[in-house]
Amino acid sequence: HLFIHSISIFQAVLIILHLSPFGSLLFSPFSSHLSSSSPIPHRERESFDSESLLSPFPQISSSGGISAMDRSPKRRSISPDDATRFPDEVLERVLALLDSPKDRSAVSLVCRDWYSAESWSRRHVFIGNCYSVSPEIVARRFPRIRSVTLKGKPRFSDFNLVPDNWGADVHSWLLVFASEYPFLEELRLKRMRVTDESLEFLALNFPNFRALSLLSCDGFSTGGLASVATHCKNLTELDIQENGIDDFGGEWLSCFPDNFNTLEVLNFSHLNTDVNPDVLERLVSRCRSLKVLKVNRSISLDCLQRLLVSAPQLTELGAGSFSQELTPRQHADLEHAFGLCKNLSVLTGLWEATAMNLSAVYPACSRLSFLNLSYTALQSQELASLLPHCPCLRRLWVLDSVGDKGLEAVGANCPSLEEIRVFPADPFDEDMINAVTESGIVAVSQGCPKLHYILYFCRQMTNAAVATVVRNCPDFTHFRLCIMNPGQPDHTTNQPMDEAFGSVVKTCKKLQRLSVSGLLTDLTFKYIGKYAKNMETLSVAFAGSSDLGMQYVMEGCSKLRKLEIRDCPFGNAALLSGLEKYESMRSLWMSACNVTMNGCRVLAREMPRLNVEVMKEEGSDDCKADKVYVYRTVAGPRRDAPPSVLTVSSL
Amino acid sequence: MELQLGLALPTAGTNNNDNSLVFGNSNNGNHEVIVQSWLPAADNGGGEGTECSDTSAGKRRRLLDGDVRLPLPPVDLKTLPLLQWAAGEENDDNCSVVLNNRIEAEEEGDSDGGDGIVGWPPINFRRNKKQRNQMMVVNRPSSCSGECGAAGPTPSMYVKVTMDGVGIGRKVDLALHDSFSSLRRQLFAMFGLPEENPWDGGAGAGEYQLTYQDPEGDWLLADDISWRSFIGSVQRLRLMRSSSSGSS
Repeated sequence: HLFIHSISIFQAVLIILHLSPFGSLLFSPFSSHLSSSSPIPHRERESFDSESLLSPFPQISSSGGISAMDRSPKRRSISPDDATRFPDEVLERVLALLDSPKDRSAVSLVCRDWYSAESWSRRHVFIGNCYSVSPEIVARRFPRIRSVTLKGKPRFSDFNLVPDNWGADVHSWLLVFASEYPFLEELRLKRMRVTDESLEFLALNFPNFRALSLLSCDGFSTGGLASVATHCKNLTELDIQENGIDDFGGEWLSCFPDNFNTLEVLNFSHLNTDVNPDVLERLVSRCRSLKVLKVNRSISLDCLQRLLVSAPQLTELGAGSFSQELTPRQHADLEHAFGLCKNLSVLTGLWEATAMNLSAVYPACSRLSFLNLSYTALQSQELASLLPHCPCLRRLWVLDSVGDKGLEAVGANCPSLEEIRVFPADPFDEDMINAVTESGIVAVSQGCPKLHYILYFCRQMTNAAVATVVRNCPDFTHFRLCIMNPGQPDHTTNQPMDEAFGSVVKTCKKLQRLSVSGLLTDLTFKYIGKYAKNMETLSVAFAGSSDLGMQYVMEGCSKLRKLEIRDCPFGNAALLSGLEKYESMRSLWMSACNVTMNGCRVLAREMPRLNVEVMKEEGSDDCKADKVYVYRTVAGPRRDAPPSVLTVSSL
Repeated sequence: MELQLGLALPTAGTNNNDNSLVFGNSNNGNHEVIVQSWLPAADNGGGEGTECSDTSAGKRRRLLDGDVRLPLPPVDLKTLPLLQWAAGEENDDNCSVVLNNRIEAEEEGDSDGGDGIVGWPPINFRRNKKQRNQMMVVNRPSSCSGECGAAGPTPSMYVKVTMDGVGIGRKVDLALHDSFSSLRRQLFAMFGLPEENPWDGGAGAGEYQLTYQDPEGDWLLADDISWRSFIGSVQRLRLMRSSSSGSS
């Protein structure tokens, strides 16, 4: 009896593994049930069971709805009475094939068994707001996590709008992880506070730890990196990007033991001080699996040349300083070294690259899909010479020093381009010539019909140009336009830029992220509310005429998850128009608007599961709410807020 | 429109009477700043007036509609009134508040721009800060330990640049460069020169030579010298038309 039973299970596993793409197809329509707790409708359950391929399976029992948060999953062992049940281990195996968090969330709502199996099989958790949940709740919900991604501060902290001591300290998370997830392997943090003490704790308490990625974090120094290098015996990834780090010198790199060779990703491009090039070369030569190497500016071109010769298998390279004057021999050697790199798909760094030196990278560009030139003020001619060597380019980041002519070259040479970001070389210089205008963005859109992501900093724009751009490229998912003079109208007609963003939302049905700028009235927001039905993130600054603007958005944008607003005339009526909405959003930021403390109190009273936080500025009016940050949470009010951050309660 | 005035005038202390420098000669100690700003679309109960003197980092500053004008003795050439500056006193407290904002802001990594709005344009402040800091530190081992006189990492090294025939001087941060070619590129971009313009002035009108002033006040050609020595001794820069006779 047991033998027959196990054979049919074996067949079941085979068939299900075979069908896993089908499985995810079946599951995804359920994501609309995300917020409901009812089991699958009877009709769909039947079709699942009646599929002939699946007929060997016993009926899956359903046990009614569950409230997700307060059940702890239990393991169930197989007993003879369970002969008709689907064993948990098999179910877990099957569900382990699901990657998408949305699908997993849907699966977990099907029934108690599936909830349990899904919880036990989940290995990666993504927490978009570290204060929306506590580490204890996470550990109770998902007992077997190996990989965590955590995001902390609001995005406007990148622009100095959030006080330094705001919070988002990772240490309390690490303490819980040490006891609940001792086998943690990966930690990716964005905009969190990380101290050296935390890094040392991490390095010492997680023997299987492999991958650390820190983006826009602050609070640590190279001492913390030294701890990681010293103690993490199995480290495969060390990715340190654009952080507020205290750089005390490059000795940390020497802390990797001599027999250490597991590194696959090493990124220290944004560290200031010199590292020992010999140490780096030895490290690179013994890490045969190294795929990603991004060095900082202290690495000379000679050293880079040796690194490339030693690691031609690289798929991503961040070169160091590229301004060194080279002899013809050195140039030839460098060019040869780049030629050895047949697998390069990402090239970045290239600080202060001269035209001469840039030509050395041409041999490596044939398979390049992402080129980041935003650390070097290239001129149009230099860009125009480089691009024909990159026929497969899909993503390009440049500085506006390339000018409209440079962007014309982009349009002419990059037919596969999907993403372009143009950063200002000198953001505070009003006299900047050779900056980009509306012609540049139009030229790119004409040559690159697959464009779906744009971030564009400019000093002038017209409604007509934007309309042309979206007509050429109707598939935009991310449209971020920053006209750098706040409140600037269309420079040819002197009209507001309402029609520009109107054309964006009307034409681009797949738009997920939008950033608006220029002179904008409530009409822009009326368009957004009416047409931007897939938009999830909206950034607004110096725009709008009245509360109506924000109301249009809150009422119309059903998929809105993140809204960040600064310096707009939106007051309490606008804030409160989104009452029902905020629980389905990750967060709301409003600064320098017309919201008052009273408005915040009303919001806090009506919506007890939101944290309504106000950051007061010195010397401001008592009843003004200078900066408001609202987010949903199951963890209650913060207990680690600094004095400048008030959690508003309804009292 | 906003005017950000980069630069400066010779002082009575130097012997530079070169008429092609278009800033007038005036007495020390008087300065004038004219700052105009546009009014942003959202007026949040403004009327703070002219807050130019508010330099504390971290506060949101708005320069609303208004000119700030401080007295200045008359300038004898038809230039825009500029901030007067004594050579070598770059970070003097008497200096333009706008410029101080910019220097302090950039040194602190605050993305507060010249028009006083915190956090605008929305660029990750670490992006610009890292570029500047790294440049300076890369220079550190090779350059002037004694000459620069910097005890710790100083993020910027601004010197004034003037170009013959251009009414407005600029400032350039030499810490961002480690070779003449990158400095040249930035100067070309600043002054709108076509790229092919070589340093070593050949034939043709409009060719410019880069000259610099050393601590003794002499103007020297900037191509006979190594970058390291240049950094150690440069006080000011001038793009001189090569049709005029060499350095004075």
